[in-house]
Amino acid sequence: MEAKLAALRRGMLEPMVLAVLDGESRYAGEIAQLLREAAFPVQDGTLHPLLNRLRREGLLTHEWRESPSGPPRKYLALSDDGQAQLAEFRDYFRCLSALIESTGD
Amino acid sequence: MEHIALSGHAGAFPLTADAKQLLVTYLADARSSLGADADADETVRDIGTSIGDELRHTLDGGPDEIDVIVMSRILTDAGPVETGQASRDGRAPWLCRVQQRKWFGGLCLGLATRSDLRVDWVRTFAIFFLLITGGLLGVAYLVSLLFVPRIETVEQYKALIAQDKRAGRSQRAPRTPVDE
Repeated sequence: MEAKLAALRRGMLEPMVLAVLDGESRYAGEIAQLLREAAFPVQDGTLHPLLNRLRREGLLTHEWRESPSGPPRKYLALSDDGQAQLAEFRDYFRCLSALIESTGD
Repeated sequence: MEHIALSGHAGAFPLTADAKQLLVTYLADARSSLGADADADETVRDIGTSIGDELRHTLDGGPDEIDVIVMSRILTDAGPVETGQASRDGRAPWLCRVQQRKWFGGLCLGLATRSDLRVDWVRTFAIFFLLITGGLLGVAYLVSLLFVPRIETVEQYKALIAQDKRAGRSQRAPRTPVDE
Protein backbone atom coordinates (compact mmCIF):
# COMPACT_ATOMS: atom_id res chain seq x y z
CA MET A 1 0.00 0.00 0.00
CA GLU A 2 2.83 2.36 0.87
CA ALA A 3 4.19 2.07 -2.69
CA LYS A 4 0.79 3.04 -4.14
CA LEU A 5 0.57 6.08 -1.88
CA ALA A 6 4.12 7.03 -2.85
CA ALA A 7 3.12 6.88 -6.53
CA LEU A 8 0.23 9.27 -5.84
CA ARG A 9 2.54 11.58 -3.93
CA ARG A 10 5.05 11.63 -6.78
CA GLY A 11 2.45 13.27 -8.98
CA MET A 12 1.79 15.82 -6.23
CA LEU A 13 5.39 17.03 -6.09
CA GLU A 14 5.13 19.69 -8.79
CA PRO A 15 1.90 21.21 -7.39
CA MET A 16 3.40 21.12 -3.88
CA VAL A 17 6.51 23.00 -5.02
CA LEU A 18 4.33 25.65 -6.67
CA ALA A 19 2.19 25.85 -3.51
CA VAL A 20 5.26 26.40 -1.30
CA LEU A 21 6.17 29.40 -3.47
CA ASP A 22 2.67 30.91 -3.32
CA GLY A 23 3.07 34.52 -2.24
CA GLU A 24 6.71 34.16 -1.16
CA SER A 25 10.02 33.74 -2.97
CA ARG A 26 12.33 31.09 -1.56
CA TYR A 27 15.56 29.29 -2.37
CA ALA A 28 15.84 25.53 -2.90
CA GLY A 29 17.02 24.79 0.66
CA GLU A 30 13.97 26.55 2.12
CA ILE A 31 11.64 24.77 -0.29
CA ALA A 32 13.07 21.39 0.76
CA GLN A 33 12.80 22.38 4.44
CA LEU A 34 9.16 23.49 4.13
CA LEU A 35 8.19 20.33 2.24
CA ARG A 36 9.88 18.24 4.94
CA GLU A 37 7.92 20.09 7.61
CA ALA A 38 4.75 19.48 5.61
CA ALA A 39 5.53 15.71 5.80
CA PHE A 40 6.25 15.75 2.08
CA PRO A 41 9.99 15.10 2.03
CA VAL A 42 11.83 15.46 -1.27
CA GLN A 43 15.44 14.66 -2.07
CA ASP A 44 17.86 17.15 -3.66
CA GLY A 45 18.36 14.81 -6.60
CA THR A 46 14.66 15.14 -7.44
CA LEU A 47 14.04 18.74 -6.39
CA HIS A 48 16.77 20.55 -8.35
CA PRO A 49 16.02 19.04 -11.77
CA LEU A 50 12.32 19.83 -11.18
CA LEU A 51 12.98 23.47 -10.18
CA ASN A 52 15.13 24.02 -13.27
CA ARG A 53 12.50 22.46 -15.50
CA LEU A 54 9.77 24.68 -14.01
CA ARG A 55 12.01 27.70 -14.54
CA ARG A 56 12.58 26.72 -18.15
CA GLU A 57 8.83 26.23 -18.66
CA GLY A 58 8.37 29.82 -17.47
CA LEU A 59 6.42 28.91 -14.31
CA LEU A 60 9.14 30.22 -11.98
CA THR A 61 11.32 33.32 -12.08
CA HIS A 62 14.59 33.65 -10.20
CA GLU A 63 16.72 36.31 -8.61
CA TRP A 64 20.13 36.03 -6.92
CA ARG A 65 20.43 37.44 -3.41
CA GLU A 66 23.37 37.63 -1.04
CA SER A 67 23.03 35.54 2.08
CA PRO A 68 24.41 36.51 5.50
CA SER A 69 25.61 32.93 5.97
CA GLY A 70 26.77 30.84 3.04
CA PRO A 71 26.80 31.41 -0.72
CA PRO A 72 24.49 33.74 -2.68
CA ARG A 73 21.04 32.18 -2.98
CA LYS A 74 18.90 31.75 -6.06
CA TYR A 75 15.46 32.88 -4.92
CA LEU A 76 12.59 31.42 -6.92
CA ALA A 77 9.14 32.92 -7.25
CA LEU A 78 5.96 32.07 -9.15
CA SER A 79 5.50 33.82 -12.47
CA ASP A 80 1.98 34.71 -13.63
CA ASP A 81 1.87 31.42 -15.53
CA GLY A 82 3.04 29.57 -12.42
CA GLN A 83 0.36 31.26 -10.33
CA ALA A 84 -2.28 30.30 -12.90
CA GLN A 85 -1.05 26.71 -12.98
CA LEU A 86 -1.11 26.46 -9.18
CA ALA A 87 -4.73 27.69 -9.19
CA GLU A 88 -5.55 25.08 -11.83
CA PHE A 89 -3.86 22.33 -9.81
CA ARG A 90 -5.78 23.36 -6.70
CA ASP A 91 -9.11 23.35 -8.52
CA TYR A 92 -8.33 19.99 -10.03
CA PHE A 93 -7.36 18.42 -6.70
CA ARG A 94 -10.56 19.74 -5.10
CA CYS A 95 -12.44 18.18 -7.98
CA LEU A 96 -10.61 14.83 -7.58
CA SER A 97 -11.13 14.81 -3.86
CA ALA A 98 -14.87 15.47 -4.27
CA LEU A 99 -14.96 12.72 -6.88
CA ILE A 100 -13.53 9.99 -4.67
CA GLU A 101 -15.78 11.03 -1.77
CA SER A 102 -18.97 11.07 -3.80
CA THR A 103 -18.42 8.15 -6.18
CA GLY A 104 -19.95 4.86 -5.13
CA ASP A 105 -21.83 6.27 -2.10
CA MET B 1 43.36 15.11 4.07
CA GLU B 2 41.94 16.41 0.80
CA HIS B 3 39.81 19.39 -0.13
CA ILE B 4 36.97 19.99 -2.55
CA ALA B 5 35.39 23.23 -3.74
CA LEU B 6 31.66 23.30 -4.41
CA SER B 7 29.70 25.72 -6.53
CA GLY B 8 28.80 28.97 -4.80
CA HIS B 9 30.69 28.21 -1.60
CA ALA B 10 33.74 30.27 -0.70
CA GLY B 11 36.69 28.14 0.35
CA ALA B 12 37.09 24.38 0.09
CA PHE B 13 35.72 21.62 2.28
CA PRO B 14 38.19 19.33 4.07
CA LEU B 15 37.41 15.64 3.58
CA THR B 16 39.07 12.23 3.40
CA ALA B 17 40.23 10.83 0.05
CA ASP B 18 37.45 8.18 0.12
CA ALA B 19 34.79 10.78 0.85
CA LYS B 20 36.07 12.97 -1.98
CA GLN B 21 36.01 10.03 -4.39
CA LEU B 22 32.40 9.28 -3.40
CA LEU B 23 31.30 12.87 -3.94
CA VAL B 24 33.10 13.21 -7.28
CA THR B 25 31.48 9.96 -8.48
CA TYR B 26 28.04 11.11 -7.31
CA LEU B 27 28.32 14.42 -9.17
CA ALA B 28 29.60 12.68 -12.32
CA ASP B 29 26.68 10.21 -12.16
CA ALA B 30 24.29 13.11 -11.68
CA ARG B 31 25.70 14.82 -14.77
CA SER B 32 25.45 11.69 -16.91
CA SER B 33 21.91 10.82 -15.81
CA LEU B 34 20.78 14.32 -16.82
CA GLY B 35 22.14 13.58 -20.30
CA ALA B 36 21.10 16.14 -22.87
CA ASP B 37 18.87 18.10 -20.44
CA ALA B 38 19.33 21.78 -21.30
CA ASP B 39 19.78 22.69 -17.64
CA ALA B 40 22.03 19.75 -16.75
CA ASP B 41 25.10 21.79 -15.78
CA GLU B 42 23.09 24.28 -13.76
CA THR B 43 21.22 21.45 -11.99
CA VAL B 44 24.50 19.75 -11.03
CA ARG B 45 25.82 23.11 -9.73
CA ASP B 46 22.63 23.58 -7.67
CA ILE B 47 22.94 20.10 -6.19
CA GLY B 48 26.62 20.81 -5.43
CA THR B 49 25.61 23.98 -3.59
CA SER B 50 23.05 22.07 -1.52
CA ILE B 51 25.55 19.38 -0.64
CA GLY B 52 27.99 22.16 0.28
CA ASP B 53 25.39 23.59 2.71
CA GLU B 54 25.09 20.19 4.32
CA LEU B 55 28.91 19.79 4.55
CA ARG B 56 29.24 23.26 6.08
CA HIS B 57 26.52 22.44 8.61
CA THR B 58 28.25 19.15 9.51
CA LEU B 59 31.70 20.77 9.82
CA ASP B 60 30.29 23.54 12.03
CA GLY B 61 29.12 20.75 14.35
CA GLY B 62 32.68 19.70 15.26
CA PRO B 63 34.63 17.32 12.99
CA ASP B 64 37.79 18.58 11.22
CA GLU B 65 36.99 16.73 8.03
CA ILE B 66 34.18 14.82 6.38
CA ASP B 67 34.75 11.06 6.41
CA VAL B 68 33.30 8.49 4.06
CA ILE B 69 30.49 7.47 6.43
CA VAL B 70 29.18 11.02 6.82
CA MET B 71 29.56 11.61 3.09
CA SER B 72 27.60 8.52 2.19
CA ARG B 73 24.80 9.57 4.56
CA ILE B 74 24.68 13.04 2.97
CA LEU B 75 24.62 11.60 -0.55
CA THR B 76 21.97 9.03 0.36
CA ASP B 77 19.83 11.90 1.66
CA ALA B 78 20.41 13.80 -1.59
CA GLY B 79 19.19 10.73 -3.48
CA PRO B 80 19.67 9.75 -7.11
CA VAL B 81 19.29 12.52 -9.67
CA GLU B 82 16.06 12.08 -11.58
CA THR B 83 15.15 14.01 -14.66
CA GLY B 84 11.40 13.55 -14.13
CA GLN B 85 9.57 14.74 -17.23
CA ALA B 86 12.50 14.48 -19.61
CA SER B 87 13.11 10.79 -19.03
CA ARG B 88 9.46 9.96 -19.58
CA ASP B 89 9.46 11.81 -22.89
CA GLY B 90 12.48 9.86 -24.13
CA ARG B 91 11.03 6.34 -23.87
CA ALA B 92 12.84 3.69 -25.90
CA PRO B 93 10.58 2.39 -28.69
CA TRP B 94 10.05 -1.36 -28.69
CA LEU B 95 11.20 -1.53 -32.30
CA CYS B 96 13.33 0.99 -34.09
CA ARG B 97 15.36 1.55 -37.23
CA VAL B 98 18.99 2.26 -36.43
CA GLN B 99 20.38 4.49 -39.16
CA GLN B 100 24.12 4.20 -38.67
CA ARG B 101 25.64 0.98 -40.12
CA LYS B 102 22.24 -0.20 -41.41
CA TRP B 103 21.94 -2.48 -44.45
CA PHE B 104 18.48 -1.60 -45.61
CA GLY B 105 15.94 -0.13 -43.17
CA GLY B 106 17.98 -0.64 -40.01
CA LEU B 107 15.28 -2.86 -38.50
CA CYS B 108 17.54 -5.88 -37.88
CA LEU B 109 20.11 -3.68 -36.19
CA GLY B 110 17.37 -2.26 -33.94
CA LEU B 111 16.10 -5.74 -33.07
CA ALA B 112 19.64 -6.97 -32.37
CA THR B 113 20.28 -4.03 -30.03
CA ARG B 114 17.00 -4.50 -28.21
CA SER B 115 17.47 -8.25 -27.73
CA ASP B 116 21.24 -8.18 -27.17
CA LEU B 117 21.89 -10.55 -30.09
CA ARG B 118 24.59 -10.32 -32.73
CA VAL B 119 23.32 -8.38 -35.70
CA ASP B 120 24.73 -10.91 -38.23
CA TRP B 121 22.61 -13.62 -36.60
CA VAL B 122 19.47 -11.48 -36.77
CA ARG B 123 20.16 -10.65 -40.42
CA THR B 124 20.85 -14.29 -41.29
CA PHE B 125 17.57 -15.38 -39.68
CA ALA B 126 15.72 -12.57 -41.41
CA ILE B 127 17.00 -13.63 -44.83
CA PHE B 128 16.30 -17.28 -44.03
CA PHE B 129 12.70 -16.51 -43.02
CA LEU B 130 12.31 -14.24 -46.03
CA LEU B 131 13.10 -17.24 -48.24
CA ILE B 132 10.94 -19.82 -46.44
CA THR B 133 7.94 -17.46 -46.20
CA GLY B 134 8.17 -16.83 -49.92
CA GLY B 135 8.76 -13.11 -49.50
CA LEU B 136 5.99 -12.54 -46.94
CA LEU B 137 8.52 -11.32 -44.37
CA GLY B 138 9.71 -8.81 -46.97
CA VAL B 139 6.20 -7.35 -47.17
CA ALA B 140 5.97 -7.17 -43.39
CA TYR B 141 9.38 -5.49 -43.35
CA LEU B 142 8.33 -2.86 -45.87
CA VAL B 143 5.06 -2.15 -44.01
CA SER B 144 6.95 -1.80 -40.74
CA LEU B 145 9.22 0.82 -42.30
CA LEU B 146 6.18 3.09 -42.39
CA PHE B 147 5.57 2.92 -38.65
CA VAL B 148 8.81 2.18 -36.86
CA PRO B 149 10.67 5.26 -35.55
CA ARG B 150 14.28 5.96 -36.50
CA ILE B 151 17.18 6.32 -34.11
CA GLU B 152 20.58 7.51 -35.27
CA THR B 153 23.03 5.13 -33.60
CA VAL B 154 23.13 1.86 -31.67
CA GLU B 155 24.61 3.75 -28.69
CA GLN B 156 21.67 6.15 -28.56
CA TYR B 157 19.19 3.27 -28.61
CA LYS B 158 21.14 1.46 -25.86
CA ALA B 159 21.15 4.62 -23.74
CA LEU B 160 17.36 4.95 -24.11
CA ILE B 161 16.85 1.30 -23.14
CA ALA B 162 19.10 1.72 -20.10
CA GLN B 163 17.20 4.88 -19.12
CA ASP B 164 13.89 2.99 -19.38
CA LYS B 165 15.24 0.23 -17.17
CA ARG B 166 16.37 2.76 -14.57
CA ALA B 167 12.98 4.48 -14.66
CA GLY B 168 11.21 1.11 -14.38
CA ARG B 169 13.32 0.16 -11.39
CA SER B 170 12.68 3.38 -9.53
CA GLN B 171 8.94 3.04 -10.16
CA ARG B 172 8.88 -0.47 -8.73
CA ALA B 173 11.11 0.25 -5.76
CA PRO B 174 9.12 0.84 -2.56
CA ARG B 175 11.49 3.63 -1.54
CA THR B 176 10.88 6.58 -3.82
CA PRO B 177 12.44 10.03 -3.99
CA VAL B 178 9.56 11.71 -2.20
CA ASP B 179 9.22 8.91 0.29
CA GLU B 180 11.84 8.74 3.04
